[in-house]
Amino acid sequence: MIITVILTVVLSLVWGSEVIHPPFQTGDCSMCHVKTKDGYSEALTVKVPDLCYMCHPRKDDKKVVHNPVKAGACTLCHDPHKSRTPKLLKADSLNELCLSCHPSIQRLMAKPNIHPPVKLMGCTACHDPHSENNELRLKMPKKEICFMCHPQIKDVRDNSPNKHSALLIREGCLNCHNPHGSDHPKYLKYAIPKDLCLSCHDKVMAREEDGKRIKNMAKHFAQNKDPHGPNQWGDCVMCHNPHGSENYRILKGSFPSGFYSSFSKDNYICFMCHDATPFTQKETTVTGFRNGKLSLHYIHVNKDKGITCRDCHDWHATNGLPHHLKEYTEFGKVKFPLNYTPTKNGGFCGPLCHPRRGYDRVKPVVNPR
Amino acid sequence: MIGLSLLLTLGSILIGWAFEVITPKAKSIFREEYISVVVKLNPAQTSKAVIRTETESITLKLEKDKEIYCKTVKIIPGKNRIGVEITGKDGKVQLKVIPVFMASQVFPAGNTPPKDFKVSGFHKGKSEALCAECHKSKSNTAVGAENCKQCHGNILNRKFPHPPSVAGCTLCHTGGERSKYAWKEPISDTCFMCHGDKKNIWYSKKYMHGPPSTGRCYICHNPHSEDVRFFLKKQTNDLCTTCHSEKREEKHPLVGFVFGDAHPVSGKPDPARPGFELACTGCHNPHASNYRFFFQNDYSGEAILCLRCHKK
Repeated sequence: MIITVILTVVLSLVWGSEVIHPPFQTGDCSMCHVKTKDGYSEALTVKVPDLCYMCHPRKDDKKVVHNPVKAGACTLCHDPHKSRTPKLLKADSLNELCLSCHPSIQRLMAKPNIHPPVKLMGCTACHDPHSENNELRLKMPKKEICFMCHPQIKDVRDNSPNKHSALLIREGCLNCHNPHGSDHPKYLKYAIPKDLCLSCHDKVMAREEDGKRIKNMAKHFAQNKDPHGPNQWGDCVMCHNPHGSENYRILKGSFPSGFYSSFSKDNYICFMCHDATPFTQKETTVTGFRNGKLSLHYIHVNKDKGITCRDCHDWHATNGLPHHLKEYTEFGKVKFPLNYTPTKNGGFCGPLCHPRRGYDRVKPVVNPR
Repeated sequence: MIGLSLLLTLGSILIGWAFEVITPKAKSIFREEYISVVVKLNPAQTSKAVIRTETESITLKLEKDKEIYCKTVKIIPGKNRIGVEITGKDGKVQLKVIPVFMASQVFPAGNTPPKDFKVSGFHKGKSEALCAECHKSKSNTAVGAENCKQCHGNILNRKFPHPPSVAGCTLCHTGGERSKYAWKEPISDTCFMCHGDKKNIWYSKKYMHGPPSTGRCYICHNPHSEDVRFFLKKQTNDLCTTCHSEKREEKHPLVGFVFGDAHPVSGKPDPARPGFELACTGCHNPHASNYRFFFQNDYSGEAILCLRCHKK
């Protein structure tokens, strides 16, 4: 009894999952085949693909046509009678069918990170197997197709005041991501984000919005051997949002753009990692930059026209000086040296901003005016 | 570069004639725009000698028995190549290129001297002994400027010469480790020997402008001579907007107050300072002030700043 039930269920599942071409199901072979005296021959009444197009809309009427479709070989992929696979495909799965002609994609399928639609929905999630008006028979233009599933990135791209032109030029998202799969997280083309970023930022670039120049970062890192924090492990995206941002220099938090700014803790992305105490408390011992107990960070930033981190520090990389201090700082169109010299318990600084002054954590320095 | 000079030296030994550039030394830093080039050559074997700078080329007048030739040349802010090109009697040409750097805070090209460049003192040891053959370089006294002028005269020849530099170089070039004519940092201590009144005024003010506060007066002023009044290295507004470059592009000041445009800042006579045109310094004090924005006068309350010109 039980065996009969199981058999019935299994059989019904097996037969139920089979896809049958409706004309074939009717049993009237003459719909397609020529009827001879002794039955039906293999000969068709009309040649493929015209036979197919008698019932189906044309599949080759868009700009980019898949070669088998162009050749009219519908039956190369589809079985005209029945199949176990939806759409009467001649393979056990959609992707297997595609891979039978495109073996190079097989290599991608073995990558540790596969883009889910590739596996779950198959190639036709993005590519039309017959014809499409877009390059590679994509269902939307190359620069836009990702936004079918990732609309929030489109939102960031289009509505951010500070844009990253990588999303807008050449191949859009695909400039950085591999849409099929990759050895690296986020389907990136490089293992380390910095290598990816420097593949473009190895020259001086101009911002599209205002023509402001962005320096040659590859050269900057090559010349300055002491990278700051995230740059040590090449994590540019720890501070920058590569898709676009409302903040200066597509940063993930705010940062003032000029030489001077009034201070607020919320104005600086730096405090994601760094302790803000030396900036908010006049007397503290949690910073090395103090004269006795007087926090010199507090003195430098806490004015209407306080100075910003950039005026003394370079957060990408520096060369030689401690605390990621710059050798030269930029003011207007000129550069001037900070002339910083460290001492055992402090240091001296002689920029253009004030006379040469020193600080010492143990024996406070009395500076002349 | 080193390979080339080695090759040239080797070549000259083989050919049998050579020349030497005594000054400037390669990779030297200068602050003045006039520098001396001294070449030692063999007149019997030389048919032509040319000194080339970034802007000019000077052909030396060769004399029969004269081995050492001096010439003052002009350099530009930033990197310069001084080329000395000697043509031998046999037609062979030799070239020595000496890279030098003119450092200047107010010309962006001269802001960042390369690390391997340094200020080299000339007046010492062998090089001075060589000059002493013609010049009394060892017998200089406090007012012996005439002697210095033989080589360094050009730096005094601009429109406005600074009197002490004409009177005697060693008033300020008191000597130091580098050279016996070196001057001392910070130079303001030397300047205050005469301009002591300014010291008292500035240091009693509430705010002091960065550059003068560092004691490096030479950032803006040329202590020798200059074509611009007050020995400024550029015209006033040009000088200020070198650093405050945003003021060059934006409208300033009082936008919308004067018929929709800004108050004039140049090209018109300054009523408060007869003989001067309007400039940044009409309203702002470049050295020190008790008022914000380094205003020349208190603009708050009764608008005294405006009243400097707009008297009722």
